[in-house]
Amino acid sequence: MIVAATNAAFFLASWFLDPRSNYRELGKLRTDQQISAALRPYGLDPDQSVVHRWWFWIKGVMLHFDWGHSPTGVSVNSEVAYRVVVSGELVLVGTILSVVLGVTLGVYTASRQYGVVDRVAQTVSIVLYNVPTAVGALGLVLFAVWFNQRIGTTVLHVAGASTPGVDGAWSRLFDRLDHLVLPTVALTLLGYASWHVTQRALLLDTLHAEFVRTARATGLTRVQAIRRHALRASLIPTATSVAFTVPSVFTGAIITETVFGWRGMGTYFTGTIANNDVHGAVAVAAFGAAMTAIGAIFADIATVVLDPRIRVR
Amino acid sequence: MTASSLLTADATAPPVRLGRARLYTRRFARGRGALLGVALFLALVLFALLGSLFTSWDFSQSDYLALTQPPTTSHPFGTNQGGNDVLAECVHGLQRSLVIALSVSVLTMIIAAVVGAGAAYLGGRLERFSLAAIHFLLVVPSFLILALVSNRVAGDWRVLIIVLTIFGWMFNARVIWSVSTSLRERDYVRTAEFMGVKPWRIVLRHMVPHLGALLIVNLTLGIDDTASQRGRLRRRRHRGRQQRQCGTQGRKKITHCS
Repeated sequence: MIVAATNAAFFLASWFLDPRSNYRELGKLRTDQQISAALRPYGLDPDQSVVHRWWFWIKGVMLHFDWGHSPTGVSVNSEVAYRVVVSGELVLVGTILSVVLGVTLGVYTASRQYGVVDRVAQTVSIVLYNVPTAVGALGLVLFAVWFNQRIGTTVLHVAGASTPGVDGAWSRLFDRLDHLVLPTVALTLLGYASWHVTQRALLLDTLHAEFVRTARATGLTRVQAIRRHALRASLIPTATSVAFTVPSVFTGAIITETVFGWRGMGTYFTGTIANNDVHGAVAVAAFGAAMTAIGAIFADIATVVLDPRIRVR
Repeated sequence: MTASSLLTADATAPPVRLGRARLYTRRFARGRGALLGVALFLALVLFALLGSLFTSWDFSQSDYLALTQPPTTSHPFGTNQGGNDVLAECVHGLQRSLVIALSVSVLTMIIAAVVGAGAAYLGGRLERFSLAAIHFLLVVPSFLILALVSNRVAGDWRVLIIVLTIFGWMFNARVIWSVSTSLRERDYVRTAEFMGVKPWRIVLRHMVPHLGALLIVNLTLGIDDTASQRGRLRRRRHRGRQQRQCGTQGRKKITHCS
């Protein structure tokens, strides 16, 4: 399935993106022949047939795991390898934190429906959910700048994934972690709300289910009944959603990456499409497909673990 | 039947029984947050319908005498670099956003619920086929296709609704499917089965309503997602040339549910 989708992506991208226009926009005027000659070594020459270009590309992928080059000759492999690490750092922590925070809040507020905490948390979540990412992230940046000036030194880094020229394993690690703080806070604060709202609604639904009442009747306390029976069942959709948002989260943090100056997969994805980078766009599509497949496996495992009644067919 | 006879009929009826619709409206109206949400939403709809009354400019017109102006009496929201009236653009963008976001999220949710629950309950070949379709569509680089199509049709909103629906339902269908695999083992589904309820009726009347909370929450969150997704598509295409997408306007929407 991944193979089919990736090949489909190649043909779509070849049809849709025109690498020639990159050269046309350059200052010096070039003829079509010159442009074709410049693109040919990368297998991007539009004068050759699509099948020919596809063969060139698939040979590279199959034989050398070489995903090709951008129209200006930058290797896709090196770009993606670097950016996956950057995005992974940025996104994994942010996603895990927002899911944990959201689900915890959802469970806590659902078991105290219409209490003060529930109302306050609900309001805060809705407000945060409706803050556009750009506004929220820029607000955090402004806060950090103000904070740094107040303190006198740069405590919170606003831009980039690391400071160039930092040596030593430990100081490197601390430097990276320090850079990670703000974007993670941004992703978490703006991302947890939907998990909270969904989890709350789901748990409220199952709280009154007959099997929870039965569990209470067998002598479990309310907390035990919620934790062992209601929560399990209501976590199924959340687990599936989490598993399937992983790919979109990797390539979807475009605004956050832009604001904080991280060169991750999100900005790469938009970049490939804007720069008519056929091979790059296909590589991103393949990456997304692979992540979806991994997500699907995790989703199935999580569902069966959470509800043993489900028969695996 | 005259009005007076209606009145007397009403008076003799037992006062406790309310119609379903009225019962729901009353319960709904009890929540202040819900009412606030509805009011905000209605205000947005009104603005989309009547907002153009406040300006004499059309969204596609350019006022070359007033580029990047702050708000004035003739341009209440000011103008952009191209001399377009920002209010007119907002109203136009909001209309499109509302129509597309609402219809796409309702359509995708219906498809997702029916396919997801149906596949899980009915099983067999149908389930295998639906899951294969879901996974294939999830894996296919839908963004490329969306960009391609929206380029071809030059932003025809009807085509956009169809395409966004085709590539928008799988995620929720997959989630609903995994919930439904748990639901189909529950006692009330079994009971319905033993009572001889027909399979599709079980799916539609017993399983889908049970998913209600999930559906409603995801529907409201989906409206917002569609609005911003469309904004992203458009930005890429026009690079802000014309028709400012009112994604930001659309965001202040109802998320009040439950």
